[in-house]
Amino acid sequence: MKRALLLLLALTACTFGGNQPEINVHTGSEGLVITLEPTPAKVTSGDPFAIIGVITNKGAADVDNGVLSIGVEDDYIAMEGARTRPLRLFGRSALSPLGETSTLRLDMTAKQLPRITETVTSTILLTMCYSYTTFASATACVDPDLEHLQKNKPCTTGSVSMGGGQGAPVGVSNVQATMLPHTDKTRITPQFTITIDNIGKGDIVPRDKLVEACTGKAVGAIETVGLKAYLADKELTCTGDGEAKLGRNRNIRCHLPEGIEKAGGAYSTILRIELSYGYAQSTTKQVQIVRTP
Amino acid sequence: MAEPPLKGFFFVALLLYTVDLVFRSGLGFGETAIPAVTPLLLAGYIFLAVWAAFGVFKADDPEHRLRNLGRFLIFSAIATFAPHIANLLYKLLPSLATHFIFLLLLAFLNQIWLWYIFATHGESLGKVFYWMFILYICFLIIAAIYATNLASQLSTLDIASGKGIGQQQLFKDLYTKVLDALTRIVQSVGKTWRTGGEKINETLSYASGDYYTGQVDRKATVLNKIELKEIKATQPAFRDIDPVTVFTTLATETLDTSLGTATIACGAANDGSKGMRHYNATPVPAEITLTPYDSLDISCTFDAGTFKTPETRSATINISASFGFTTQAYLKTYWMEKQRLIEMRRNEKDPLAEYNIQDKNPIAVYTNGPLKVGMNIASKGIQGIDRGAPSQDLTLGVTLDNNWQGRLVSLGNLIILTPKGMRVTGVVGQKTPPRQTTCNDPLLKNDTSCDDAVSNIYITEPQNADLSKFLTLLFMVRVDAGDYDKILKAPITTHFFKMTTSYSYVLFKSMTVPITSTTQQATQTGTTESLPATIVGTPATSATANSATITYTTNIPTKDKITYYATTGDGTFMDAYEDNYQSKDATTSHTVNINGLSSATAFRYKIISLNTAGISAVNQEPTYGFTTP
Repeated sequence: MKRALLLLLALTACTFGGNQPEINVHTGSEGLVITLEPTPAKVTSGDPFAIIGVITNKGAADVDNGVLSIGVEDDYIAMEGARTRPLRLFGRSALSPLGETSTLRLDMTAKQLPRITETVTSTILLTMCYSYTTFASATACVDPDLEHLQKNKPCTTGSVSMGGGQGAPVGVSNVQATMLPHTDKTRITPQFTITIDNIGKGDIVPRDKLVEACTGKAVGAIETVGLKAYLADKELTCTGDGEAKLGRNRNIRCHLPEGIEKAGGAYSTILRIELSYGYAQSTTKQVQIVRTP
Repeated sequence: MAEPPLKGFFFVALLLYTVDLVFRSGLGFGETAIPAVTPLLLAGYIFLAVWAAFGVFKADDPEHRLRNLGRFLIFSAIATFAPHIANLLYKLLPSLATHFIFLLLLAFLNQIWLWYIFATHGESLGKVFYWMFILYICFLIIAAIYATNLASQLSTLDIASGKGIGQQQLFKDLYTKVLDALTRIVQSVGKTWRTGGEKINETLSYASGDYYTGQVDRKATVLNKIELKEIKATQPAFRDIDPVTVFTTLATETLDTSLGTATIACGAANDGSKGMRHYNATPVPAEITLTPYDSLDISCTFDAGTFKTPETRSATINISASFGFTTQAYLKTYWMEKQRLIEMRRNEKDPLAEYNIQDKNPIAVYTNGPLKVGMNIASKGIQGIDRGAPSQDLTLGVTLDNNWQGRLVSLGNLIILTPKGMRVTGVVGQKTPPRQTTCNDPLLKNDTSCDDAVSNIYITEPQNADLSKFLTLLFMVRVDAGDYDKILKAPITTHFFKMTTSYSYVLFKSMTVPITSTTQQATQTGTTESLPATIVGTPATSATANSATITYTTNIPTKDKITYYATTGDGTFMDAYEDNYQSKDATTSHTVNINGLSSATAFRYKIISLNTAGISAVNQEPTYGFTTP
């Protein structure tokens, strides 16, 4: 009887007094997501209607200075309110594992159709532009044994796949470690080839051109992300002066200029990668307007 | 019996020909004819050629097989392109191309595969496939009958109503109708092939930049049309002393509540041996106020004796309806900042896919009507605005082309609406630029959709337009730097160019009616009894509650029958009582007793007097009447 009571007490302690399991928010490939509710199949000309939806930050990073742009076909739809609105949403965290949400309501009116036009289908374009940061980390093996003379090493250098996303639309998909000779013969230079992919549904735009990206102004070069990489606590030097241009050549090489001593032997350490960029993604809604019977 | 490959080959060939006939003859497809069908048909015919050379009719050695393949590919090319060859020849040698025998020959060539199979292996195919071929020929004939409306024409004949010379006349009329129907078949075939040629011409013109295309609004449920139905005659045949009456119906189905009036005209040409003579008649009504949904009867009567010439055989009667019509069109266009557009393409991104735009290839849409409209901007795809440039120019092309069977009489004002921020600076080939106006313009008073905040409005009247061909206008449009923000409001912005044009159009229908010379008939028979019967004076009628007695006199001995109708108070016919009475012997003095009538009812009747030759009296309308107490 006593044992049973003690066992019950221990179980209770585990339930109420133990640590909460950690939620890994650095998964998935989404940032801001907009979900629209169904609208009526047909709207009569002259009648009001509303576009209602929810914007959710399903990524790991917060959005502080985002912009929502609403594009309507002015010939057929009149909209109340501003065509651009600010977006601020916290990302997923332990306290908010699903990310912050914001309700969207756009009040519109279907305009009158031309005299002998029976129906038209009009498209509403919603574009979200926001700056985002991807935090990726991987366990990298640093092996100074360039000649592969030693056996029974604690780890081996090679490729680390990082599929599954890091809680952002742009992520690191692969890291390839390569050990290179150093000018100092007592040291080696670890080099990492980092593969970056746009795994979301939008485009990468400059972080400082979010309003331009959402309003039809020039934004300059697109598909370029800012990149920083750290091996343990040491910052790596990367090609492209800290900018990675996606596209055909989406690999960027980073290395530790001062190198690592050969005498230390192979060891595992953390490779941290930060990607900073602006992101623009759109969704459309079609509304069929019919003339007043 | 034939081996399975031959049977399968025949079946596939027959299926392909049936599909070919359905799509190319335009049965029930009209505007929705699929333009990609001809390449698909060609692919099907090429497949037949290859299968024939290497599977069904394969030779023993490869060299002969290749030779056969060449021959069969020629067969396939003839089958696919025979209609287009016909149309090309029609352009070069119109007299030959419309000849009945020539068109029959081309029709034969079109079915060349089936003829080849039956010529070489017909006996081995077996009865089932033999009858399939017969059914296919029947299907061809039915399709031709459908296309030429022969069936409804034949149904208007009433062979049982006449006898003697009258019956001969009816058979002659039947012959005329069959000949007319065969002519229509030939014309229909020619028209189908000419349509193919016109499509080729359009394509060539489009390739050279002269012709802009559009499509009718396929989401519209209202047909938006005005139609003049087939003309019918009150009688299958007329004598030259008869008034000739034909009638038709003008039907409207449109959303436009301001159609105005249609002017009706009647004309006729008398085809005598001494040449053509032309006549006019006053239609009833001469003017019709058009309403959105309506169906109005029109009749034309040429006075008795109009076509009285010694050798008169027939008269071709035309009814035309002239009316004003309005057609509207719009063209959707996409706009982006140019550098951004270039960047996206450099990164191999399709902007339309990136922004989830579903309508990737917008084409001009026009409301159905006598004119079809094509619109496009000279540079296709997404338009890029270079914010660094002081201004940008573009060209908007608009093509107007005849869409119905009638004729464009005159072209009125053409109203162009451009997106705010774009202005029309001129029209290529016209000295005077379009006049800019606002929604308060009298021409736009009926358009509740007009919005000066959204569009710039311009009005032009095309000058020196050749209305027998399509008309293309090129509008020069400019965007100034100060207006770039009006155009580029979002990463990708949609703008519409709109057009409205009003014009006069004429529809016409014609039919040929046989005209018989009575002078010739009287000369041939030599007796007064063969002359047409007339009723002398007005019939006298006395009526009781349930009966009536009609007394009248004819100029010659006749055998009569009376047809009478009960009517309502406003003259609407309710019931018809036919053949109630018929006299046994020919006489000039007639007394008719009619029993079994309803009391307190108004009746109307007509007298059909037949002389010994079987020719009826002039009066065929129930113009006489009486009322039972």
